[in-house]
Parts: sequence; structure tokens; C-alpha cells
Amino acid sequence: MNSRREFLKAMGLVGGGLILELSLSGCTTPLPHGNARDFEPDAWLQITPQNDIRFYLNSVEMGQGTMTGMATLIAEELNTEPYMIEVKSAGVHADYVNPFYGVQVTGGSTSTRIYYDVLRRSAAQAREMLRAAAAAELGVDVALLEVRDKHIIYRDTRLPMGRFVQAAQSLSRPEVSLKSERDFRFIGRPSVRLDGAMKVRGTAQYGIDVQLPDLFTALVKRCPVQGGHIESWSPNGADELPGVKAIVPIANGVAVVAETYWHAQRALQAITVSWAMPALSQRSSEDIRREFEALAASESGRSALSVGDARADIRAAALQHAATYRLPYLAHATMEPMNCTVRLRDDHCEIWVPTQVPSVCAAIAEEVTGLRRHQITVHTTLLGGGFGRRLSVDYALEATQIAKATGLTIKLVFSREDDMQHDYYRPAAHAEIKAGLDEQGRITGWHQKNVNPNILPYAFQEFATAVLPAWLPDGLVRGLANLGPWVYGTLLMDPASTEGAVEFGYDSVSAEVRHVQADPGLRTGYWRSVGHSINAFVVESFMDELAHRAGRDPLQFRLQHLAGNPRLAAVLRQVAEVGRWGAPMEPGSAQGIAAHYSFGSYVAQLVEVSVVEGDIRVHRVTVAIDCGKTINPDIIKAQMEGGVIFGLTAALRGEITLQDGRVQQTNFHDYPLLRIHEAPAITVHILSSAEAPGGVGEPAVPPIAPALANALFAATGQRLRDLPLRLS
Amino acid sequence: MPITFMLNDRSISLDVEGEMPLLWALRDVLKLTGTKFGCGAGLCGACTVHREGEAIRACTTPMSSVQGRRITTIEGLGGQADHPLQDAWIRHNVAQCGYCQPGQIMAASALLAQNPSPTDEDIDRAMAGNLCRCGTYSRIRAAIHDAAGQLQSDSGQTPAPYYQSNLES
Repeated sequence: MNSRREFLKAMGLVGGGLILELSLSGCTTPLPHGNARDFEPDAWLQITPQNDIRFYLNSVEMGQGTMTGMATLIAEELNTEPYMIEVKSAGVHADYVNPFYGVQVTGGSTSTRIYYDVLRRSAAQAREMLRAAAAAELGVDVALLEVRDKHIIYRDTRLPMGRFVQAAQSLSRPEVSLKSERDFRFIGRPSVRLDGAMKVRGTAQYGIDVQLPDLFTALVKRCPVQGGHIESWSPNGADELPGVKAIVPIANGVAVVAETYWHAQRALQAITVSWAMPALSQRSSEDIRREFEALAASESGRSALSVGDARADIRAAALQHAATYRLPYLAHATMEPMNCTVRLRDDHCEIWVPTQVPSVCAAIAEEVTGLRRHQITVHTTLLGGGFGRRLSVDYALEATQIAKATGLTIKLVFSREDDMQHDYYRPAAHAEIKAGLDEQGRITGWHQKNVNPNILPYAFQEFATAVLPAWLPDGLVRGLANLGPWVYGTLLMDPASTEGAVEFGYDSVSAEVRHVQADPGLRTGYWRSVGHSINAFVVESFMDELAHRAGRDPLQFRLQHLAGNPRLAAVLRQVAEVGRWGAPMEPGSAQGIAAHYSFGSYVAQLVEVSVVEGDIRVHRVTVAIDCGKTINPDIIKAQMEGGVIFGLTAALRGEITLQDGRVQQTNFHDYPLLRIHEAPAITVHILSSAEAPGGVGEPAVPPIAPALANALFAATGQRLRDLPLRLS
Repeated sequence: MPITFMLNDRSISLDVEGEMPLLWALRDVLKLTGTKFGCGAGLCGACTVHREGEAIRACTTPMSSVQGRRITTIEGLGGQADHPLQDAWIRHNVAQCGYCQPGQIMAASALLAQNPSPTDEDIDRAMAGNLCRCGTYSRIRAAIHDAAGQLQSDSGQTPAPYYQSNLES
């Protein structure tokens, strides 16, 4: 999360501290959903004379539960059941910009953290304005009026809120006090998800489900090696196949537009393209592994954390230990493949897109079409999974180019193979780590060096058009965007590469974390928990190694080094207690433990594993989380369950490999995801806390791989330092 | 030659190529988008529908093979009301992104039609072809058991939601 903020800071777009106060009134541009008859105290709420309450959700719903969670915040202060509030997808507007990142983005597990107070205040102000309007109209003391479930209640009379909408419009926004936690009806309690029913009836509309008049499906034949471009191509009879409407080259390949997906797919197979191959085509996974290893030996890299003199402390220590860990590239593999629908007219471009960055999609469309920002409308749909993949906007770029080239209304759809082979991958990494222990088994010095590609060069190119001021000439914007790879390759640190390592949470006399940038040319992206998915594996595996070297119990060894980190210690103690750490296990079975802080939350996990004839079986995972104040405990629990499965999939199976620059994996047979019969029982314990809310979408992912590796060491004596985990 | 079949208890006649997969006839021709595209190769189960009550993958089922057959999609599963599985899914808050869930429910309903009280192993066997990237498997299992109990007891009593029984401990 810091990384993306740093990126904007580096561009001079945001100041130092967190910007938590949003401009909620005095919008200079009209809201996308504006209507003069309704009561719109700000960008979030709309209450109609017919007594409909609409909440405009600026974050997207991709499964993480923002729709329910954020509506609950509104519901609490309006004192109205969440299901009575209609949640609508907000369009693109300055008021919806995520203050962490400076663009309208859903990511970094930030939604609830940022808007916990903002949305409550918004609803509380609306509530007080309606009460004041009602008191004036009824001629009674405002103190006698209660707001409950869409009504203003005065003694025995229940009057719809909508009746006072007009009068409330003319009032100024009052100072309000928020509800006391004692009086909460909805916050902190489980509830049925607002998006649950439509998702089981098949009526939920994802991007891929968008229907429009005269809508055609587009598929693209892309270079099998990322970064290649067309030398020559031939339709080779594809243009004469039934159902085909158009075949056009675009920047990234050749697009077929046809009546159905199936017609487009069939035509695409006939097309022949000769590609100019990029440098990446000279590399395979084994070359990259060797390059990273050589760079780790030859380069000192850039310092990301430096406290004391770690090298000297390690040299002087009674006991030294060192290890090297390797992690592969990973694909996101959302269940809904990438897609984007575009209808382009002379003076208006409309886009329907499942994306985490609607404002970046708008900026991309502006650049492609030559229209101005106000002529572009972005409709975000539900997302069939995001996990960071939909922070990139290749689909919006390609779809807009196809609409422009053909003049047709099109829905671009990636096949599963396209989705797997043209992802923005979680970076592969090589991490070398060493530490010293004193005679009492205490860490004296800690030194970690990572070699891996940064993500920012790729993100920078796409985000720049959205975050740079609209008055800059287009050529300058593109020029600045193209500087990204150079800036983040040579000048600046990408914090995503070392997050999870630089927040080093254990007590040590000294600590140093360094990063060596190495990019083979396969584009990288934000993958659920980002750098934490790499560094938690490294740090928490190595802590386990140190514990064994020191002859200590892995839990006790961690606790011994957590004097300065009480919240991490607390989740570890909790998970050890409820997961029965140290309980006797069957032969061949063992426990492993790990804990990690990310995105404002502390998570510890305890894994029970057995190995039967070399086959790894994960039976049970216990999770303890401290995410501060809880809004919906069942959604927290669901995110812990989902994060564990997501992380286990990576730990046991996840691996994207390259052969001559081509991604070798194509579909779910060679990039397998965990299935129901492989899924462990998961129990979740939420620590009660009065701290500010932390994120929950990502923090369950980082600890699971090291917890499992640690359990496998306990079960077999094999220390597995490469992901995915494979016993020899 | 149009292909004629029963779709959600209505007779449908479609003039499409026999090799076109049922999935694309449903989604792109009939605009019934509850059946999802996930892999196109029968690997993920997002496109699961029923043919004569049996769970099949619409993405690998050519239209020629549905001539004269009875097809049910998520839109037609419960008739006028929710199927007990859909009801259980809602109460257990199974869906996260939700994209795979119509396919999960179609697979589960075919299971319950054959085996009214499945064990965990029965569920694993029947549902192993359906992927969920959000990792909702434990709730899917719980919701199937719950719906099976509902269908068996037929008491009309709605059991306590999963989260109430499991959250406090």
C-alpha cells in the first residue's frame, strides 16, 4: 500500500501525511448521478422524495464485502437497516478519489479503513438535516424526533424521511456527533451480505454479462511473448467465416469482432501473425533464476531499511545462520476473465468495465479516443474477482482501441488462456537472509537482500495519465508515463519490493534490508498482499530456522522477540491457545506457526499438516486476527478463510514459468487452484480491539506459506525454501 | 436446421451451428448470463448446467447434443422461488465475488437430487470439478449440508445461520 502512495508522492501529487478529510461538498463538477429533486448532501448519499435511500459506493465489490461493509457504516448513522439502502455503483468523480493513492482505486485493503469515519459522518449529517427539517415543519422540538428505518418518528407517528427532503436541501451541513459504540445496531455484528441473493440467482451483473443493442464480442490474438509486436499478419480466410464482423490490428495484436464469443474464437484460430520478438524471448525461467542469483552476489542494491550495523553485529554474533529463498512469478487467475465493453460515438465514449481503477480507465479512453474527460462515462460492474489484477488496465486500452478502429460497440473478452498468459504477474524473487544470535538465543543482527523486478514501472505507465493534471499536453503526459521504467529502475525504490521486510517487527540490535532491481521483462503487478506475499514467507520461514538453530520452540522464540510489538504477540498467543500449539500429533503430522502485520492488521496462523507417502495434506488452519474495530465479523471471517485458500494455492501449486519468454501455463490444468477436497478446515478468531479499523482483504495471505513450510519442516525435517513447496 | 430443446421448462428453437457450445448459445444468443464462462475447457465448472437433471459443463457441450433434451440453468433452478440451496447459500454468506457460485449451486443441486443426505466425502467428490478462487469451500460444504437437512426435514424451520453458530468461540 505504501508503495503506491510513494509513487504518487514521487510524482509530487500528494503531500506528506494521510489525507483523511475529503471534500464532501461544493463539488465543482456535477455528480454522475445528480438529480435536482433529490437530497444529495454529498457524493455518497441520495434520498429521494419517494423515500428511496441510495448509497453511491466508490469502491468496487470484488468479493471482499465493501458493498455490505460500507453500506453498514451509512446504515448505522441513518439508523436504518442496511438492506433498506440501495447500493449503487458510483461513477468517476473527484470526490471519489482514494486519498491514499490520489486516484479512484479499490486496493491496498483501504476502503473501510479510509471511510470508516467519513461515511458515518456523511450519514450522520444527513440524519441531522432531516431531523431539523422535520422539526421545523412539524413545529416540535428536534430532540423529540427519532430517525429509524427510513422514517422520522414523533411519538406515535412515523413519517417517511423522503417527505422532508426538500426542506433539508436548503439547510447547511451541521456539526454532528457520531453514534456511541454502545448504541450500534449494525456495526460489529454479522449480517447477511447485501450482494448474496443476486449472486446465487444468476442475476448479478459482472462486466462479462453486459448486454447492449448491437453488441459484438471481440477477442485479440496477442504476441505469445509479452512486449512483441506485429511484423505482418493475414486474416487467412478468417474474415469470410460466419459471424465475423471485423478484423483489425491494434497496438497489442490482431482483434476479431464477431457475433458471439465462439464465432470470434473460431476466426481467431485461422489468423496468422508474424511477430517481432522482444528480448524476453531469449529467456526462460532457469535463466532468470541464475540471473537473480548472480545479481545477489554481485550487487549490493539499495537500502530500504538500515538500523545499526547489521553486518558487524552478525559477524560478531555467537551463532550465524544464513538462507536463500526463491519465489516464482504468479498469475491472479480471477474466475471472471478480463473483459471490457465500449460504445464509442462521435462525442461520447461509454465504458462498462469490471475494474479496480475506473478513473484510470477513463483516462486511458481519453487518450485513445481524443475525447475530453467529461465526454467519457465509466460504469463499473461487479468484479468476478480482482486480487489486484484489475488494477491494471490493458483490457480497457485494448477495448477502446478496437471500438475506435471498427466503429462497433464491442465487448472484449479474454479467453482463459489469454488471461493466464497476459497477466501482470506477482514478481518472482530471490531473497538472501542472514542473522546472528547471541548466547541467550537473541537476534543481534538481521540482514536481508531481495532481488526481484519492481511493479511500479508498469503501474506508473498506466496510472500516469489518470493522476497527472488534465491540462498537461497529451504528449507530455505520455512522455512522463514512459519515464516510469527508468525512474523506478534506476532512481527510486519501489516500496512494494520490500514491504513486509522493512516493517521488521522483531526485536534486534540492528537490521538491514536491501533491494536489487532486476527485470527480465515480464510485466509485473499487484497480487493480493503484494510484497508481503514474498517477504512474509522469507521472514517467517527464517524466524523458524533461527528458532531451531537456537534450540527454542518457534512460538516462544517469536514471543521472546516481540517486546516492542504487543499486537503481533497477542495474535500469536491467541492462535497458539485455540489451535492447541504443542499438542501431541499423530506420526507424520505436525504443526507450523507464522504471523505477519500488513495493511493495518495483525494475523497469526497455525497449520496442521500430514505427509502421507510424500503427499502434503493440510488438515486444519487456525487464524487469529487483530484488525482493530470490526464492522462485520462474518466478512472478516470470510476474508480470512478466502485468504488462507488463496495463499495455500500459491504455496502448494502456484508457479508461472517461462520458456523462450512464453508463459507456459495456459489454463487450470497447468495452473491448478486448490479444490474443495484439498481445502482444510479453517477456524477464525477475531481479537476484540478498540484500535482504528485495519484491512482484511489481503492480510490473511502472507502468513500461510511460511506457516505451512514450518509445519512441513516439523513433519519431515526438510526445510523447503523454494515456492511452491515440494518435498524431495 | 434449428435445434429444439427444453430450456428451464420452456421449448426453445435456435438456429445456430451444431458445434457451437451450449454456453455461448445461452450467453450470447439467448442472453441468459447466469451461466458463467471460466475456462472454456471443462476445468472450472463455472458453466455448470443440468441436462436431464445431470450436471454438465456447458462450455464443452455442443448444441447438437442438446437437441430434444431438457436443459436447466441457474435462472430456472428454483422455479418461482429460491431453491433450498440458494436459500442456504444466502444465509451462510457463501458468495464472495460470486462468479463461480451459479455453477457451484448447479453442481450441488444435481448432487442432492441423487443423494439427499451427502457426507463430506460425497460433497468433495461431486464438487471437486468446481473451482472457487475466493476460497469459499468450507461454506459451500456447510450450505449443502444445511440445504440437505432442510429438504429432508421439510419442517419449514429455517436453521440458524452458519455465522451465528461458528463465530463465537
